[in-house]
Amino acid sequence: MPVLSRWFIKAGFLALGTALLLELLQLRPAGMLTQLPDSAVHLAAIHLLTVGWLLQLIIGVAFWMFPRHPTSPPRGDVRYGWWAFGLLNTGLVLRLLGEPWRLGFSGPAWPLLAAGLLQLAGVASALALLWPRIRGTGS
Amino acid sequence: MPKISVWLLRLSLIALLTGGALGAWLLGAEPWASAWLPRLRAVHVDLMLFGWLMPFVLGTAFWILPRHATGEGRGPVRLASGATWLIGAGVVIAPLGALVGSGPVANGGLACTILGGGLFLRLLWPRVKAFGREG
Repeated sequence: MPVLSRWFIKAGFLALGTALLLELLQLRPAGMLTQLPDSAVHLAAIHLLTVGWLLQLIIGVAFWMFPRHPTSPPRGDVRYGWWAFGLLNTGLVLRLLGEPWRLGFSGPAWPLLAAGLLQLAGVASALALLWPRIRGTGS
Repeated sequence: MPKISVWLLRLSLIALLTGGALGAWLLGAEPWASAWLPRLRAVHVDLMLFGWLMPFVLGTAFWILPRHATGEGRGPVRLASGATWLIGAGVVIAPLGALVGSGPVANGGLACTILGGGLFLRLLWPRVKAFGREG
């Protein structure tokens, strides 16, 4: 398994673990951490599950297993993959911090805007890496 | 990779980019109160679940699951093509219906997705088996 795939898959599992902890946080006793809105915790958990876990697991496995190019480098330009990894995870962390800050403590909107743009750029970078490898074998 | 998987995977990546762009915009526009917000959220969720995740998984499964030892290796191609068209139609129609606030159009799109997904389950179920075995 290539190094990039391992990083994506392990980051995905970390996101899954964090999402489960956040779900657990929603079961906290009444009166504990009252300023932390449940809606922000729930949204963060959902996005950790869908973007942090599923998307990263899929990118990691796709980079590893999709048909390779007949020419070098066989799995495409790995720099797109590292950019995708960095942008997606930075965006996720920014969202994880920015959403409770915004909803619970009247924080600024810019971390959320930046989180959205970073994740979108990460997705675009992953697409640049994977799109050319979606093709009929031998073509 | 068979053509049907190529189409499903490309469709799913387009939906991922479109749904992701909409999600990023929604995230940045949180303070913006508008009647459109619930509709745009519905489109985002629809694109990410039924546009991105489902076709990607089905396309990969159609490509990679063990093939039948006899007949068409991946099952009837015409059935798979029909299912792909239904999913493609659903991915376009359901979000459009949600966007314009038309329940019947959104439900029609969802029905296409469900029917297409159901046909794929019918195709893939017998292929979940040990390599080299039938049934």
